[in-house]
Amino acid sequence: MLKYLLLILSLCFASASAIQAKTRIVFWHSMGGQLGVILNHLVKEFNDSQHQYVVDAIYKGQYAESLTSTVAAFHAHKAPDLVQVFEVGTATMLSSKAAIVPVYRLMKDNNIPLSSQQFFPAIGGYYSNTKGQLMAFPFNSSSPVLYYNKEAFRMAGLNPNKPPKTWPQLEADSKQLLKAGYQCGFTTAWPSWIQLEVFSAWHNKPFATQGNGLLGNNPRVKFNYPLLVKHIATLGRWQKEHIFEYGGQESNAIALFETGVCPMITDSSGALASLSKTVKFPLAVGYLPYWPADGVPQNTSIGGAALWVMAGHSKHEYKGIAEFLQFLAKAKIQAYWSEKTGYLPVTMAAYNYIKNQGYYQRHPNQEIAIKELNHKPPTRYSKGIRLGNYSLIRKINSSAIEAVMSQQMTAKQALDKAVKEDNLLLEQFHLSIQ
Amino acid sequence: MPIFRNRYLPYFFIAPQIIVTLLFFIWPALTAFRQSFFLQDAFGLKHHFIGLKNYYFLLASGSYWHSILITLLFSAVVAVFTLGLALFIATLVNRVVRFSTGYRVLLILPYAVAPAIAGILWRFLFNPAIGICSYVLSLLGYHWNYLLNGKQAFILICIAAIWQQFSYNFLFFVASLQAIPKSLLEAASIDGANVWQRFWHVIWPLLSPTTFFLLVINVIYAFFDTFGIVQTVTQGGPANATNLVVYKVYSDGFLGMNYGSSAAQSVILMLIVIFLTVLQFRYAEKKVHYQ
Repeated sequence: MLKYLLLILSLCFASASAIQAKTRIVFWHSMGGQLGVILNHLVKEFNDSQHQYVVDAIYKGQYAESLTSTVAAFHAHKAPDLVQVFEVGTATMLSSKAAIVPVYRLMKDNNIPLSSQQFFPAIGGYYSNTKGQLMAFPFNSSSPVLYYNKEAFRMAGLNPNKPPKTWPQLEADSKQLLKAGYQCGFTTAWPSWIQLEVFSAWHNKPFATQGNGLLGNNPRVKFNYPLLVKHIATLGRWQKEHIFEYGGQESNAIALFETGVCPMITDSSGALASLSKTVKFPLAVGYLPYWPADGVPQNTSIGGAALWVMAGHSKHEYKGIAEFLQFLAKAKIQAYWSEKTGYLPVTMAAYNYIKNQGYYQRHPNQEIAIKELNHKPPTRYSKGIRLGNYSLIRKINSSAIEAVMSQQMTAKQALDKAVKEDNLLLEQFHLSIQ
Repeated sequence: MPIFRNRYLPYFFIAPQIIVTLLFFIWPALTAFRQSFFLQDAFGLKHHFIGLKNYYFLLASGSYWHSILITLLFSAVVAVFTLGLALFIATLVNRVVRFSTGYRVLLILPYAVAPAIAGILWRFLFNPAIGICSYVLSLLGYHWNYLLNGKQAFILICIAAIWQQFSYNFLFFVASLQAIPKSLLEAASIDGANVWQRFWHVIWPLLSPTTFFLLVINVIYAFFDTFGIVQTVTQGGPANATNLVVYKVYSDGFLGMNYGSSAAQSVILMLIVIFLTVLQFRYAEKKVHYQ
């Protein structure tokens, strides 16, 4: 009896030490569903490619939840090695210098070359400090595009290969769709991101001072400019005329598109993977619409998330993280990730790799987002937005849009009020990081 | 002769309660109070003493006042409707001769449902796209979309909260109704009092301690315990129409990581509830008849 017990015990220790021989790298992410499957495939490939490290990818809920968990874990000295943080958390992570290890320093310490220049300017620039050094690893970047239902276009007598380019064209097409019996023309996911933030970059208008917060740590928002007031007011009018149907915050509106109620939706390019699986109609992608004017459209800014390296881990772990990031930056891996998910290839090498293989000729839908992002060299106000208390600001801005859609306020009133409230939060944030 | 010979024994017996109170109520409350004077970054790396600035930022923000107003309205609606409905149904059940236990069990059941589950149930029933209640309303020609219509969203969380808190009120009313001596009611009947007079002059005064207790509990419930319902049904939207104070504490603190402001909000919430409770004890209690 005792012999068996000893045997079992020794076996336990043996297996435990076998696992310990490899350095474990804890990676918290928010890639649920199909995206999680694709990510796990990449992680497995890395783990199988070498014997020193094991990346343990753990789904920690949606972005906001995962960030909250990271903060709590940091307080308890149990932070993960690597965490995926959405763009909303970028200013928070950047200003928490003692909690993170900048990616450029991690790579330098481990003698692995990786520079922000390898990435597309609108992507690398967003995750770099003012000196152009890469602070986080851009992983899943996306840009909003217009998805549309080709079958509905055909039914309404529209050319299914010609999506509307401008908002006035979209209005005309929507009216045609309404005539053909559809309940609405279009809807939008992520209202405040797409209709306020990216809208501003696409029309080259400042969303906030200090280069939208990329050039300083004390910006103030100023998105209550006439064109945006006009745009939101127009959406409010379209809501009444059913040209537009408000479908809720975040990605809730997708249900209206998937079920065929609204034949058009503006949504993240990262939604392509799941949309291609769920919709029963032929799906196509067009450019994000714009209001015609001189120099418009500019370029879209990115959403999505980056990987941040947390402070307080061992040298071994950091070496492992550096190698994992190097692995993720490989053109072949990037290409796999981008082709499978619809997220943008973040490095130029990956883009060329995909292009040279003729992939975009076979899948034109997937090239739209990257073309939008590189439509013109980014300006001071089209490299993205970096704000403190960003998630609260998004919430206030979404509420402002809802107030217009439910006709409680005019667009001017709602945006003025949102700007005032946002700036109070920005003032608080600036005080908190001093 | 004292009951306890050992002078430390009583302290030993009350120790668990004291420890729980200190650990889970007093300590967090003091921490929140302290935090409300500081600005802290997300990872807690920096603290700044900023005095009353967190409070200043709150009171300068229109959306905070909006939250307070709708919370007051919400608690008034929930407290009054829950009390009224529970009293009405308890009185009816008290007169039922057959199956009264069955009725009582069914009416008390909702209390066993967690707020989040209650929220999900109501969300399904009233979902604009797939909800059965929305369907019925649309047949009646009423356009129901609580995702966009703030008033409808507010009504929906009121219904969910009333439904949930109803059972607790009902339970207490049934118990107190049964504790009313039959002889009093008989005496009133002999004196010629009709049903309404018996209720108003005999039952209602005798129920007043229970009613008062439930009023206090309902207000506290509406202020503190409705987080689960808001989180599952509306997340504070649309356009902040259901952003109750307790939900704002959560979303600003845990989602927004604005800890100082969240702490200041919980201190204000605490003060409001203390104030309301004192007010109830000062004024409403004078009308209460303890036997």
